[in-house]
Amino acid sequence: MVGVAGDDVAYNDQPDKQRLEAQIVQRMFSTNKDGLCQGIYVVTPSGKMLSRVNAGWPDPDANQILRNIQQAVGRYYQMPKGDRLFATVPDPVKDRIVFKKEEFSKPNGTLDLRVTKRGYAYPGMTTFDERHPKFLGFDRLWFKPSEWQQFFPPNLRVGAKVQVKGVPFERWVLHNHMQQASNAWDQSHIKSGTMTSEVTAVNGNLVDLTLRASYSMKAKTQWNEGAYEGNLLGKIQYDLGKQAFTKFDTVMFGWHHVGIPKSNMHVGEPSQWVATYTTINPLTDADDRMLPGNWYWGYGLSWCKTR
Amino acid sequence: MLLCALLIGQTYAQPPKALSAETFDQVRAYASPSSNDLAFQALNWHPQILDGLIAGHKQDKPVILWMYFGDPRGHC
Repeated sequence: MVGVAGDDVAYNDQPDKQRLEAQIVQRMFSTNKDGLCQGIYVVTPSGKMLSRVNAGWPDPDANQILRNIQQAVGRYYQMPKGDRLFATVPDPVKDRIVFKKEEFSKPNGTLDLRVTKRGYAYPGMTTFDERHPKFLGFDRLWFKPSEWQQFFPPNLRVGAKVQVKGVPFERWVLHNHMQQASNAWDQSHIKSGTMTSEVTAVNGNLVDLTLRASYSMKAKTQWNEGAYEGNLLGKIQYDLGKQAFTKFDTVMFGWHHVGIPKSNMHVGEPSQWVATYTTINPLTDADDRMLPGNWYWGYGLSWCKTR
Repeated sequence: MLLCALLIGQTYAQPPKALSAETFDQVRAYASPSSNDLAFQALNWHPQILDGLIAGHKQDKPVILWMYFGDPRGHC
């Protein structure tokens, strides 16, 4: 099968309804009782809906989903080729919807990190709540050169330290990398904390750094009344010859409180311990194409325009 | 406690007392993806429907659409 991982809200909200891709998608979902909405579907390349295949909630029913996919694939190969394939293949440029996110990209030399995070067990948890330890959160964390250079003390000798301030200190928490789910955090919610980077070894071109940080956060807005207390510890290695990171492993460990629990999101104790692991993104751009979750409100389109 | 774990059918790791050089690997392991967590990456996910339909047409294969607010592979 060919896979598409798309944003149903972006497709619904995009204004260019006359574009051929928009018309194909509109026709495709016209037979779905809920229209274009979140879910997993099997369709033909010609744009015919075969089936909505997801089953079971909040715990997916893997066996039923597999049966649904097999049935949809069976129907696909029973269809005449003229029905399942395009009569005229769309133009991949002219007929394609242009989304805002295509304006967002990494400046050259950006440090591209994969974030994974998992909450620890807490009283009363169920899989209705994405804080459940069954769920692993994925994201991307990007630092462009002018940002990641702040992790380096001016003199790269063993024992040299630098205090890291601003974006390279704040982005870890303002973009929700320290907690499950998302909240609206801003700089004023970081009540105290520091980040220090220290050179721990220099071997030829290889420079080892240790990154340490602490965060104490409390928000009180209509969107977020959460709190966070936690620490970060990182092991970094940079190759001066290749001008590239050979290692960037950091972990965060902290206590997150959701503030006021919401009945459509939270079940059980409103606080939990959370572990986060950040490492160099093992996927190449070609087979990844995933942006940081906070690309628009957190980074902003102007972020891409400078290094 | 053991009976409770058997009845629930699953136990979960306990958090360490604090993050330190000694607990670094423990915390990293807890937040690392398992092979099951990464299984979805076996498929090359196109981020746009038209791209997927054209690829399906070229290969004469059905297209699986995974639609979710944000990006279903991670954040939402």
